Amino acid sequence: MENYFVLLIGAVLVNNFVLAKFLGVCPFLGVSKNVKTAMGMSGAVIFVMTIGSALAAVIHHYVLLPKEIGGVVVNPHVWVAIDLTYLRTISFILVIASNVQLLEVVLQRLSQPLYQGLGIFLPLITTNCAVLGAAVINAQKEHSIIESTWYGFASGLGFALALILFSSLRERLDIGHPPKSFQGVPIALITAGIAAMIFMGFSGLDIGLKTFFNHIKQGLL
Amino acid sequence: MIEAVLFMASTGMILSTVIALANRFLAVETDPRIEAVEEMLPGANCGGCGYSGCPAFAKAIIEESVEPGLCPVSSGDEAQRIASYTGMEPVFSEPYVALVKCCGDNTRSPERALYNGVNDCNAAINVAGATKSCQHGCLGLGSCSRACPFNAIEIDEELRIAIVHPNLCVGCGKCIESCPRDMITMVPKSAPIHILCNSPEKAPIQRKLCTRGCIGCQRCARQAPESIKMVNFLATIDYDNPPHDLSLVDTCPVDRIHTSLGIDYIPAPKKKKGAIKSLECHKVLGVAPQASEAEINKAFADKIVHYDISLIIKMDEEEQKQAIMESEKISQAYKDCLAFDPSAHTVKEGQ
Repeated sequence: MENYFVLLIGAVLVNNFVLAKFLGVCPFLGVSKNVKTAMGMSGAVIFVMTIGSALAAVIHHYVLLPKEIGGVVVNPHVWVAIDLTYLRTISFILVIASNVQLLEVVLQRLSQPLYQGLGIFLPLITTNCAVLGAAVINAQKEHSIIESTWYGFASGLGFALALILFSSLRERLDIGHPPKSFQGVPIALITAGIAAMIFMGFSGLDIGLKTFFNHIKQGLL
Repeated sequence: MIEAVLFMASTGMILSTVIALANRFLAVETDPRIEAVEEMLPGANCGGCGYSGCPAFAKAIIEESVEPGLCPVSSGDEAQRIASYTGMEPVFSEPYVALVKCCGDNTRSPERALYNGVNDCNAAINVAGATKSCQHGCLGLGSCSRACPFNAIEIDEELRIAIVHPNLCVGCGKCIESCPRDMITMVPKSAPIHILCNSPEKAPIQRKLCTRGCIGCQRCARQAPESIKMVNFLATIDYDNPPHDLSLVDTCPVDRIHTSLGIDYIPAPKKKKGAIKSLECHKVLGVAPQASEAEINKAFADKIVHYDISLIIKMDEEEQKQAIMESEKISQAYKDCLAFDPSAHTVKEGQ
């Protein structure tokens, strides 16, 4: 259980997708003009990242990842005796893109208000690198399927936090008086840089938490 | 390599089959007419019709038989097209435009402090009631301008006042909520006369705050009692029965009644230090006060009408009198202009 808590803190604060890993910077700058659209975008990203990470993890664990059975490397689920891990990126892209398409159809059927709320943002994030990034990081860190789903959700939350914070900052910047040469995008980029530096203050928090929980487990505390 | 191709092809096949099946069995039946009507609507999503946006309005038109004429943005033709598509008779609502009830720019109602905070009326109002002397007038920091989805409200940065462009304004009413002083109202586009003041103060106070504020003299209300009412020393037009008599404009001693909306609102000329005051004679001839003698001569030659005897014969007595008076006026102006000494009429510093 503590493991999941550490994953959450790690993805939201310490290794924030936008401000520490610099993934998904395009929507971070493009859709942050006002808080309302930022919220729509955040909702869509959380939704797609959670489901996309889960699906990608399933593909990773049951199709791509080889297992050693009796000294032979095989993919037990597709009955092929070869290593398919080199197809990771392209198959993740395929899965995520079709996942978004599928989600759109299903959402329209199941929940009209949610579908209208997410609106244009859902198809927009088909090719968002943050979604693919979450799937690839899951594969690299060898998370289990449940861990991957949780990590995808947590990264989505981190993205939402950064996007909503930044959009409210930008709303204020719009009515402020920055010097003429800084007006608009330049001041936004500088603000983003400062925000990234602020999030560096969290670095080491997840490792600390991990050690803390380990110590409790071992009865040291 | 072959296994990669096979793998991707099969994955693609499976996923596309799933999507196709989902599309086939989960698709939502929507009325195609709603989409068609939505196409015909302007897509501005301004909410002026009373619905949350164009898609919601399109749905209401089809499902609840709402009038397409409610849309303030689409022109009569578009509403007509939608109405004939749905088989209804279009009913047009009277077009409305926003009116900023203030003409007190900072030359008329001066700033009483220096404000350096966030450039927004709703923020400024929290700091000791903002900087304009008049506590009811336009702050000119542009909250309404930012709220307008059609860029119909312009802020004059120097004079600090909001100016509505009635040909861009569609009357959606989004600006009304944005104004912290509640001084934007929707008025019928056809109303010819407006009172550009929002201050209910009494004359002695008002005079100190703004040179153009309504002083509550009631002259206009007395001339058009059925359409102008006094509300706490502020003349207010009843837009259910707006006045059409343009002579009302001349009754106002402070020039606060305007014949049209913001686009015709002309800010007071800025008096710069050392500028030369223009006199009546210059206006008659249409020359600048610092014009040279040659320029005045030329203007006089252009203005004066040489009356031929054949012309004079055709005139009746009244017209002859008029012509003589006109000629005399121009000649007099010419003489005055030549005798004009610019140095005596220079505006002094601080005036």
